[in-house]
Amino acid sequence: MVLLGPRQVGKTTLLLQLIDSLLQDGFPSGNLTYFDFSDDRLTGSLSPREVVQIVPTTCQKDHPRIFFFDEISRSKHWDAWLKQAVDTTEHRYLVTDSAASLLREGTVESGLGRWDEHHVEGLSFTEFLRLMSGEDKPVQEILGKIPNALARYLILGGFPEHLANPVTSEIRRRLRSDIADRAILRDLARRKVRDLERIRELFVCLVQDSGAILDVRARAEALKADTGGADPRSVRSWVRILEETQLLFHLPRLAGSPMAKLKSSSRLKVYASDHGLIFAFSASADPLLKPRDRGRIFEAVVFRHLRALAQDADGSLAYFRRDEDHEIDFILDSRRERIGIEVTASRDPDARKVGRLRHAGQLCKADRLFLIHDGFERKGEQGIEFVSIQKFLLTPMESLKL
Amino acid sequence: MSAYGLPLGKTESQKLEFKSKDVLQDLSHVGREVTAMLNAREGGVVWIGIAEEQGRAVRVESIDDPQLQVGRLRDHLLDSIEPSPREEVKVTQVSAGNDQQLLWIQVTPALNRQPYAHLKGTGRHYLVRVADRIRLMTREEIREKYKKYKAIGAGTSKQRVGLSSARGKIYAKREGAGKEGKAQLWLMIRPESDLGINRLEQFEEILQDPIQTGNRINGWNFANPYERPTLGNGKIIQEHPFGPRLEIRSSGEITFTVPQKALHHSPTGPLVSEKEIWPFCLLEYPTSVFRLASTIYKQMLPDSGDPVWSDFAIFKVRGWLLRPYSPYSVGFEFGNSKTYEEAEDLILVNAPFQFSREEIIETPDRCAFRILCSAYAAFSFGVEMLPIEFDRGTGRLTMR
Repeated sequence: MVLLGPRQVGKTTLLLQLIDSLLQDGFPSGNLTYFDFSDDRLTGSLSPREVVQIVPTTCQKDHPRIFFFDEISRSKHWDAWLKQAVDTTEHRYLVTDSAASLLREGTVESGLGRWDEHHVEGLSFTEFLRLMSGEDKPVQEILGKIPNALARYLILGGFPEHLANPVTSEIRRRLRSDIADRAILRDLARRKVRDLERIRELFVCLVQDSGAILDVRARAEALKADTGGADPRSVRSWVRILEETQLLFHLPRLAGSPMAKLKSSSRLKVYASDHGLIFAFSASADPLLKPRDRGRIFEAVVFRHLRALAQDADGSLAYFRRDEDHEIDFILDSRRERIGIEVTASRDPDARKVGRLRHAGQLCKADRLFLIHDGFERKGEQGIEFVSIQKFLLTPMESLKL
Repeated sequence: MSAYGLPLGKTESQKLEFKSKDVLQDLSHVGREVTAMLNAREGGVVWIGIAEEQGRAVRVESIDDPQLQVGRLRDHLLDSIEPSPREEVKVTQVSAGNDQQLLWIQVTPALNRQPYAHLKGTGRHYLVRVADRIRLMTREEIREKYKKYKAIGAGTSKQRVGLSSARGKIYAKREGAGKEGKAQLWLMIRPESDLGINRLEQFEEILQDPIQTGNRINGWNFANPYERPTLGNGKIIQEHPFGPRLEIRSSGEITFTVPQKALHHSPTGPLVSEKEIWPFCLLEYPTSVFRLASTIYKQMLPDSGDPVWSDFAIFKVRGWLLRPYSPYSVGFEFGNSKTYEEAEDLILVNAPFQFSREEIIETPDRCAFRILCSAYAAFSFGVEMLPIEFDRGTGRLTMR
């Protein structure tokens, strides 16, 4: 199994938790091998094969050996080894890497179907609460213990590493450095991706503008002004690279006919994969107090939870846009129905907003419409159901009555 | 020597004491001297910023930011001496020429309020000044002073009336809260006079949005954006079934409680034990309520000169632990934590605290700071052991 995910989402922690759980279940410790290929104590490059060849004296032959390889792409000849390793049934392998490294090698295509891929995203709100409180208590109880929990989640993002560090400025600095300097500059440099500085600049712009429709020409022009040259094709390819790192996710436009689908592929919305990135890269000192940034953070966090929901419901996600007045942030299409979901950071959405959503819902033939907002629970009106953002993040499925 | 004439060349005596500016690093030394003068018949004067050699004033040591130090010193003396010497002690900034600044404390004991005790840790220290020295009072001396106290009458008539109204009510409410038997932090702020607020619904918004009262959007505070406050019976209540509860009455009385369990937070994992108070909860919850009081009283509290009273307690706190210093400091990790074992409940010995309208409105953090210094003292921690996020000088809480 390969665990893929952006930096800092807790892949290593997950490996260690799995090891803990196996040990607690009585699995022989000599049959478990954890190796971190990014450990600074490694003076030379080591191949996974060399690690596998070391057999602890306590290893029991009646159990399989399970290998947990962290940051696999830092090892020597890892890709060739991995392809062979999956064909053997003798051992089990669980490997992790920031997707940036693995995917750029182009090995995933060749490996598809040969190993199980699992994508790890940042913490959901419920996971965040449980980890923050350190207790396995009902969510309502945790919410009592951690006032303003949602604001904390919106600021910290879904990165477990930063939960113990509530110094907001420090978290922002570390996220910027880790994502911009390591994930982009170092990881991609190791894979010989060129134009790193401009990719980084593009990334910052796209995160600051999370949820906007990608206009490659405009982005190319903007980069040209700053760094002296970018053409739209390059911008498109750089966005793809950033998506492969799972730092960004795109959302297609809702399209009916095959021709419209083709057209819609050029009108993607691009989102930061985790709302914490928007907070970290915002130019504002206090992004949650700036309506524009706040709105973007809200949309990104709802998108993160909808992705999981769409996966569970075997559905697909898109956005709907006829024109500026007739737009819906998210359309969740399942086999049974089409649900339109609009997100606002307003505490009390006005009648105009509600009216426009209703009209847009009619245009895209949505079966049900939801307005996720920042206020209290309230009764639906004009066929639209109102859901507070906190309630949605805690119980996405129940909130959308799926 | 004029009123503030410099005492250079003079020697310490029954009514004169010199302290170098270093004493400002640990104000409890000043508190001891002032308490001792309060228990002497004549009172006296304490100079701060005068170096002495063998009891003789030899040199001026100018004090930086003297205005700030006046406030600090005044707060400390009011809170570390029992009964609080609001009328008896006067702290003044004095110019010594050449841009040099000193502090001058005039101590005039009220004989009917003796004996005075210096509060340190969980103890009351009865001290008296004899010539240029201080010593502990004997049992007989203390008993004698209390006899006189009873004979003359405790406090002025105005003070006795105060005790029977707002101050008395706050005592009763604290007792009532303690009898509920809940393990919780309890804080009450109450103006002397009933404010008669008509439209309590006007506070709905500030109970949901912490920014409006100068609190952090993601902090440990009373606000809750996703629970609608309830209104009725002359009060508005914002509460979470498992978390903080805040009640504002039409009288202007504000009561805040938070379950003890919610004072525990363990972001650093095993470092924090199960029955441990997280310092930021202890600091930020009360401060947020004082900031709320500041916002409300700014509009509602008339400038009548009446005081505002506040009391604080943590019920059923026995066995709970507190670490000194900021959780981000080495001191927090390696400092000596203290487990509260004195009693079942933590009641502040110098409560209720008296604040002026200006203090509550202009410097709400400083008001909370005074109370929290006492709470830390109950755990035997000095003011220097409060987390650095509370600025000792300005008394302002700044969470990063």
